[in-house]
Formats: sequence, C-alpha cells, structure tokens
Amino acid sequence: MDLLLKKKTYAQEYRPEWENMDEFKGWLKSASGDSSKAFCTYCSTEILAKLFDVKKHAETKKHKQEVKFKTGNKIPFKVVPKDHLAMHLSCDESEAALTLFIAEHCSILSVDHLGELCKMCFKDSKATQELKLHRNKCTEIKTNVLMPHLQELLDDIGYQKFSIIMDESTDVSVSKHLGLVIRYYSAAQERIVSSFLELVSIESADARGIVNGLVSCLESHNLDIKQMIGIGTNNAPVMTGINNGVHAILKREYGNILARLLSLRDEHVGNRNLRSSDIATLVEGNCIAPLDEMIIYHLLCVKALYARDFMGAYDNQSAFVAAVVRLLQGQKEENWALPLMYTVCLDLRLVAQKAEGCDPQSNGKILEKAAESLLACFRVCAADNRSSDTETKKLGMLNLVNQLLKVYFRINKLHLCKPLIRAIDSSPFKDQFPLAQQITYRYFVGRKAMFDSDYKSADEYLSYAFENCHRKSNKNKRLILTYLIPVKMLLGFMPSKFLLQKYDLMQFWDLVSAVKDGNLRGIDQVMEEHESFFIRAGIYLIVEKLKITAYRNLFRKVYLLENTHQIDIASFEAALQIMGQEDVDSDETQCIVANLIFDGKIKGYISYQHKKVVVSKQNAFPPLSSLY
Amino acid sequence: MSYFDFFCDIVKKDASNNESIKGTCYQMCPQDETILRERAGLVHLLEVSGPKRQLVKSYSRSAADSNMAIPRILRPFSVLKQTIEHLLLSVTQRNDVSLPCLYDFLNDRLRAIRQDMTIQRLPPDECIQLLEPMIRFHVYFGYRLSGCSINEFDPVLNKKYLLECMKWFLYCCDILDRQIKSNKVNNDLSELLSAWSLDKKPVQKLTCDKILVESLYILCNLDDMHPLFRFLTLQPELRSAPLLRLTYEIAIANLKGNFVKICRLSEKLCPLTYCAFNLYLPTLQRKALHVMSHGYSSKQLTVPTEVVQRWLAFDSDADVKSTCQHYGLKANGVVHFAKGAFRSDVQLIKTKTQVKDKLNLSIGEILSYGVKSNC
Repeated sequence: MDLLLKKKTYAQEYRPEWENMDEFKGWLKSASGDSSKAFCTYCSTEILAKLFDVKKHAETKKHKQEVKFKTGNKIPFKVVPKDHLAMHLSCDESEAALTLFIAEHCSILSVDHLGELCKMCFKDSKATQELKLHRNKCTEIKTNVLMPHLQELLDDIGYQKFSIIMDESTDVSVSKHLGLVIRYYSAAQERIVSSFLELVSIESADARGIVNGLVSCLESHNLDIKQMIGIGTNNAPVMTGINNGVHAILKREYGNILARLLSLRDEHVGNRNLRSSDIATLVEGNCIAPLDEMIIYHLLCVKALYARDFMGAYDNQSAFVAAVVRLLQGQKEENWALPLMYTVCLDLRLVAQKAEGCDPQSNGKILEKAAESLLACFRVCAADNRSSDTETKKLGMLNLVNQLLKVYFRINKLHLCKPLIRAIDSSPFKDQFPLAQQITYRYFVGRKAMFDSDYKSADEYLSYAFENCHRKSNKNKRLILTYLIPVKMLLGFMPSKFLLQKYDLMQFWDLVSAVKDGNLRGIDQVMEEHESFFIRAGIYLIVEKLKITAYRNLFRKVYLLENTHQIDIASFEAALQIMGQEDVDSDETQCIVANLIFDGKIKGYISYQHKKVVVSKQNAFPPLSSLY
Repeated sequence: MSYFDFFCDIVKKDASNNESIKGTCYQMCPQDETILRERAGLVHLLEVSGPKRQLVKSYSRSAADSNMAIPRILRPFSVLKQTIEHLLLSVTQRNDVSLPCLYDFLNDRLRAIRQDMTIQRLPPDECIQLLEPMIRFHVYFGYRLSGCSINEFDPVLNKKYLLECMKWFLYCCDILDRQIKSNKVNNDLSELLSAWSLDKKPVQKLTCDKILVESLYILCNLDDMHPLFRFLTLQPELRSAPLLRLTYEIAIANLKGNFVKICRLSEKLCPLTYCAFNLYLPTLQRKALHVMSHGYSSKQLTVPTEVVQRWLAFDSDADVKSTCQHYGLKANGVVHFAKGAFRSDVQLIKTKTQVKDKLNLSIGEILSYGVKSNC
C-alpha cells in the first residue's frame, strides 16, 4: 500500500507544440475547457493530454480508418460563395442543355432567339434570367466543352485493344438504332472503362445492317476493327446466328482482312519500307507465333518480286502456303482462315504462272509443283469431317478445286481433274458453295466433258455457267460461249448473229452459215482460216464433226428440190461434189446417208439395188434439236 | 504405278538431283543371274543356240526386300542396245518354237530392259532409241497373235505394254523437242534420228522413227479423241508427213463413222500401221454393220455380199457370211439388213488368224523398215 501511495501522480497539461509534430498534424486540438484533455477532430473524441496516450490513439484502427477516409480524396476547392455557385451551375447547365438541343435539332442561328425566348417565358427561374447564349457562345460551348469529351475518350483508347457492347432497337417507327458501348483499359485512369460510344442509326436491323453500322461507326472514329477483341450482345438470333449472325459475319470479315493484308495484290505491296533488307528482325517480336512466319514469307516474296526473281518469289510463296496449311491443320471447329487460304493459293498460282513464263525450260513443272501445294490445302479441307456444317473447312474445297482445274487446264493434264470433280460431286455442300465458285467450276467441268465427247453434259454445265454468270462480266461470258456455241451447234441450236456480234465471236458466223447451207467447202475454209483459234480452244474436232450436220442440211435441200420421197443416190453424190467433197463416190455417199439414218437425222432407208434413198413421207428430216 | 508415271516423276525430280545410278554390267545377263539360272535349270530354250548359250536378263518384279538399284546387275545403254538388237534381230529368226512362246520370251526380256532403263534414268534421246523397236514388236506381235486363245496370248496386256512404251516414247520426244527449241540449236530431231537409220549396211539395223510412232499412237486409239488433240498440237512439218496425214484422215473418217472411206484409206497404210489398224477392224466392222442394218433396213431389199466385203475390208464372202450371222443378220449371197435383227449383245468377233501373209515381210524387215520408202 505504502509503495503505491508513494508514487506521485503527475498532471500533464496539453501542450500546443504537439499540434506541429508531423504525426499529429491536422487532427490534434486542445479540448475546450479542460487543459488535461486533448481532442481528435477526425474521431471526435477526447484523449488524455499525455504524449503517450495521444500516440496510442494515433495507432488505433478506428483512427487510421478515419485518417484514410478524410485525407484520401482531398479536393482543393476554390471557395465560392454558396448561393452564387448554385445559381451559376444551374445557369451553365441550362446553357449546355440548350447547346446540345441546337446541335441535335436545328441550325445554330436560332439560338439567338431561343435564349431570349427562354428568358421571357421563365421569368421566375433565376438561372434563366442569368442566361446569356447567342450563336458565338453556343459554338464555343459546342467545340470546347461538349466535343472534347468524345475526343478525350478516343485519345484515351488510342491504338489499344477494345471491346464493344451493343444492342439494336427495333421500335415501331421507321428508324432503327444501334447503341454502342466501348470498353477498354484507360491508361489515364488506370482501370477498365466502359463508356457510351455512339447511337448509330442503321438502315436495317438485320445482321448485315448491324455490321455495317458498327463498321462505319468505328471507321468514323478512326478505331481499327482489328483491335476489337470482344463483343457483348444479347442472345438474339440476329447476333449469334451461326450462319449469318453478326458474330459469324464479323469472324468472316476478320479472315478477309487478314487475307487482304497478306495478299500480293493489295496496295500495301507498293510500300517501299516493306522492302527492308532485314525482314526477319523487322518482324521478330512484333508478331505472334503462327503469323510471324507467314509475314516473313510474304515480305520475302514481295522483295523477290521487286527484284524480278520469280523463282525465288515462287519458293517463298509456296513456303507461305505450307505455313497456312499448318495453321489450318491446327484449327479445329473453325474456318475463318479460309479467305486467307484462298488469297494465298491464288497468289501462288499467279506467281507460278509468272515464273513459268520466264523460264521456257520448265514446261509446266513449276505449275505442277504449285498444284501439289494446292493439293496439300485441299487434303486438309477435305479431311475436316468432324466440324459442324458451318465451321467446316470443307466449304473451302470448291475454291481450291477451281484453282487446281485452272492449273491442270493450263498444263494440259486433264486426266488429273477426274478425282477432283468426283470429290465435289459427292460433297454434301455441292449446292451451298458461293455462286461465283460454282460458275467457275461448271465452266471447267463443262470443258472437260466436251474434251471427253460428252456433249450432253457439257451443254448442261456450260449453259448453267452462262446463264448464271454476272451480266456485266462480258469477258467470262465470251469464254463460256467459245465452248458453248460449238456444243450447242452439235446439238442442233445455231447462234444468232446478234449474239456473236455482242460477244465478239464472229469467227463462228461463217461457220454457222456454212453449216446451215451444207457448204462443206465453206467449213474447210473457215477451219483453215481460224485453225489456230479452233485448235487453241480445243474445238477443232467438234467443228470437224459439224460436217455431219452440214451433210444433213445439204441432203435436206436436195430433198426439197427434188420434191419426191425417192431420191437418187446420184443426186446426193452430185450435191456433195458441188459443195466441195470432190473425191466422194456412190459407195461413200451411201455410207454417209446410212450414218444419218442410223443417227435418226433422216427417216427412211436405202435401196442398194435401185441406188435410191426412200425417205419417210412425213417429217423426213426431223429438226436436229428434237433428237437429243 | 506404271513405268511411264515413274519415269515422269524421275524427269520431274531430275532438276533437283542429277544423281542417277550407272550400270556396270557389260553382259546381257548379270553374272549372278547367269550362275543362279544355270544352276537351277532356268535357261530358256531360246537362250540356247547349238552349243552356244546367250542368256538375257529376265524380268523380276521389284519387291519390298529386293534392292534393284545395284550397278552390278544393271546394264548401261550400249549393252541394252546390243541386247535389244540380239533379241529382235537374231532371236526372232528362230523358227523352232511356236510364235506365242517366242512372244512370251521376248516380252519378258524387253520388260527387263525397260526396268533397267527406268532404274538408271536414261536420258530421253537414249530412251527413244530403245523404245521404238519395242513398239514395233508389240504392234506386230499383237497383230500376228490376235487369233490365239487367251491362254497363249493376252491382247489386253499387250496393249498395256504397247501404250506404256508409246507414251514414254512420245514424252521423251516432247522433251527433246523442247530442248532443241530452247537451245536454239538447228539440228532438228529428225536429222538427229536419221543419222541413226541411214545406215546402209547390208545387215539389218534397228531404226527410230517418230512419225511411225505418232501414227501408231493414233491408230491404236481410234476410239479416243486425245491422240487427235495431240496430233493437232504437233509441229506443222510433222503434221504434213504423208503417213501421219493419212492416219489423221482415217481417224477423222472414223469420227464421222465413214467406214467406206476408212477401209479405202487403210489400203495405203504401211505394214506396221496396217497391223495396228487391223486390230481395230473387227470393232469397225461391227459398228458399220450396225449402221447398215438401220440404213438398209428392209424386208425385201438386200445388199450383195461382195459389196459388203469390199466396203468393210473383209477377206472373203465366207468371212462376210459368218460375221453377219454372228451378229444376227441373214446372209446367203446377199445380206438381209434389218433394224431389229442386229444383235448388239454378242461378243466382238475375233480377227481371223489366217491373215499371216498379207504383209509379205519378214520379222526382220518389219522391225527395221523406215517409213519414207513405204509411203
């Protein structure tokens, strides 16, 4: 007890010097009316005015939380008299609102009067009375206050990756809108920001319209669609439909863009900077894994082309194709890279043709090698059995087959076409391929059928190609007609002069009139005159076969002239001799007539004993077109 | 894969690696095989003449475990040429064996030669010299043996070998043409080859005749358009060669079904092309009879057999009669043609065997004559 009593209590009083110490600055004060107590303004509590106790209070959880809260967002406000501030704010707000109204709805001049009108009408509003808004101020507000918000946003996005959230509105009114929200990482704010981008009015609320609206909006803001890494939509079919939803279309376009960027026929090839001497280091580190290799091959190919080293260009392009094959092989359940494959393969064929043209020794070997590369692509596509119908790479088969057919026709290896044609004909997607590709395909298959003397199906294929060919592509139509006309003529349909003139195929006109007249000498003359054209087109033998039709026409004339159904073989023989078949004799004439009867072109029979042809009393020479 | 495809592959690869195996066997038959066959008693009758033995390397299929590319068992070009001369000029003179037996032996040995050629990747100018006699051999024997039963002679296989040789030959010619064109050297191929055939020694020599092969190619494939497409792309001076022109006319007449003209033109053909045409004749006759059964279809009217015989190059009246009856047409001095009577379901009638002496040439002449003298 004694000991305790002995301890002297020492009354410490509050010392104002503490307030300047760093740890207590800002919150410590003397408690009013009690010198032995201190006061914490943050926590609103009294503390014993002892240094130890004050320090202890500073350590408490509660105090620390308060400190954080109070000092965290300390905004230095300019001190403005309260009522004045309120009035000004509401006045500014209404000015901004009016400016927005003007910007949206009418010409800027009307604001001169609108401001006055507001002042007149809303006399009781203080804000309105302060309003000073004429056209100059309105313009200034627009350009300096409202516009910068969007510009700031775009500057902030810069060239980084972003995502888009969107939804379309289809109200009863005619106009449809697409609301776009952009989401990106803001470097300035150091966090992910979602911000309203624009309300685009779109032509139609289908997938194509939405995509167009989105693309044009991004373009107008200089945002690169390639940087868009995600989109958020609702689950409406128009957005997520697997065939033609917005997602599907965007994916496809992405492949198209990539294809364009790696094409040899794009403008970027003209860029001199791409012809740098050290392409590998240029690309290294700038591109991600499967692409870097392709870009290197692409640039090397461009470089070789500029050096006019077509063989080198071919080698690089074929390595490029091999890289694309690997890329495709690695992609399961997706086919967006098909446009890339189309472009690369087409470029390969063109480069190979160019290389071929520069090397007379090669004789189709380069093109043959190119065909092998294309076949590698074809195999990957044809083997893609597991993917769903819309994602399967099988959809790329026809494009490749067309490329291959072009190569095979060029190097005259028609026997190689057969397996390709079989692959397409047995494909379940036969009718789903794009029309343009189907036309090209039928053009070649029709030509093949013509070479194999299968005129019926040649007619079918070529007619389809001709009828569906785009009406403005005259060059293609002319090509198709070059083969379709002889086939049609064999089947008994003669082309009109107008058609031949329209497509600049007058070579056929002399032939048509000679066949019509049964003028054999005329046919020989036409064949001689246009020999190289007919041989090049591979229709020389068909023209030769047209002589049979000419025989029929000639004999029909004889029949009409004699006006009897018993005609002497000698008359036919004489007609043949007059028309240019001088070496013909009775035996041969009978043989020709026998063949015509056999083919059904003449109805009747020959009597050897009487040396006469007896023709049917009615319809002795049935129209050719009715025979097939 | 046929030799031809294989050969094409080789030519393709040639640009990249020019290495090829060079044979070092300077006998017609490699040492190893001689020993093996003599021990096993596998020496062919035709390899023995009197006391002498002349073995020739026989064909053996390339199997997975056998290595064919050993220089020791491959014969270089000079030996191959010697071998082919031995086979076609002296062995064919033997008349102590039957014709089918002779054919079997020669066919096998020639096949072995082609195998050696393929493995060694001989250059095209050497290939054509070896291939041309083989083509003649297959055409001629195809004709001579056409009447034999299937057990003795298989026309389909013969045609296959023939086509293989012809395509190979023509492919080589194309390469040579191109080389000459690109080198701008003025030695024409025919000149190059005529040096070979212009040997005026009394001994028969093998020749190499491009025009003949081109003609045979058309005549052996009369039902196919593709040889004609090829013809149209040939050089004009080649196209105007009389024999080739003639075969083209025959093919065009065939295209139009003008059988009278075909048979008339065929009389001008040289012996070998005639052989080739003769193989097609039964098909042509059948087609023509079909056409005539429509053209001359009548219950009362008839056509004399001698007319049919003349038009369709039949041997005799009896021949016409039997053929017509085979196809269901009545024939007794005159042929009764009737649309309904012609039977298109019966088998093609075979070429008659008794044609042997139409040609009146020895085998040696057949295998060595040049086209220009005959046409």
